[in-house]
Amino acid sequence: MSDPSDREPEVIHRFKNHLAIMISFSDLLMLEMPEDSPHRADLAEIHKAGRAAMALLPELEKLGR
Amino acid sequence: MFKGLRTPTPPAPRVVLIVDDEEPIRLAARRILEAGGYKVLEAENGARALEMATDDVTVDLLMADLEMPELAGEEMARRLRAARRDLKVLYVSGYVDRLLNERPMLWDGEAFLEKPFTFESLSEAVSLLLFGTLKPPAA
Repeated sequence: MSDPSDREPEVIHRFKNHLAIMISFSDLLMLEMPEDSPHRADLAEIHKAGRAAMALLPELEKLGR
Repeated sequence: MFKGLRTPTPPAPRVVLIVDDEEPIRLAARRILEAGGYKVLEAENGARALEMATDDVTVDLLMADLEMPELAGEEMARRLRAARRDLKVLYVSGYVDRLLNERPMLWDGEAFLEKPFTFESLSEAVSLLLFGTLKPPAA
């Protein structure tokens, strides 16, 4: 049976790809969405959570080592 | 109207070739770079990028994912740069440690961008490589 830690780099790589997609598109939407859009506050929460998840990555990588 | 006087032709947009096996990553990068005024081409793997580079297209910057099946980003970039010494290369990867271990120094005209990238980090990295400034010169 393979050691789960062997898959750690691959899992983190895929996680980073997903995060790049979420952050990039929320960045783009924040730039393109009108300031007075009723959806802007919701989008701002998604945007903030994406950045927060990105900031947690170094901690996540430390746990995997 | 003076004969012979013409409005200066704006410079042609710089061309960026995005090579990544993940389609949503290519789409996100395309949207960001097109917002910055670049012309964008895409390839889903290194072999396709090599084919495209032999077509009649001048690529100014190669955005290369380092982890791709079949032909790794670094080898693809090496082959392309052998034919085009002035080609700028932006390596993109989530495996920072691996790249830094294998390539403690990058060549002139190369840079590294860590995933996950953001609108700002990708825009600035491409502009720095192509123009030496964080933002491209105003058209």
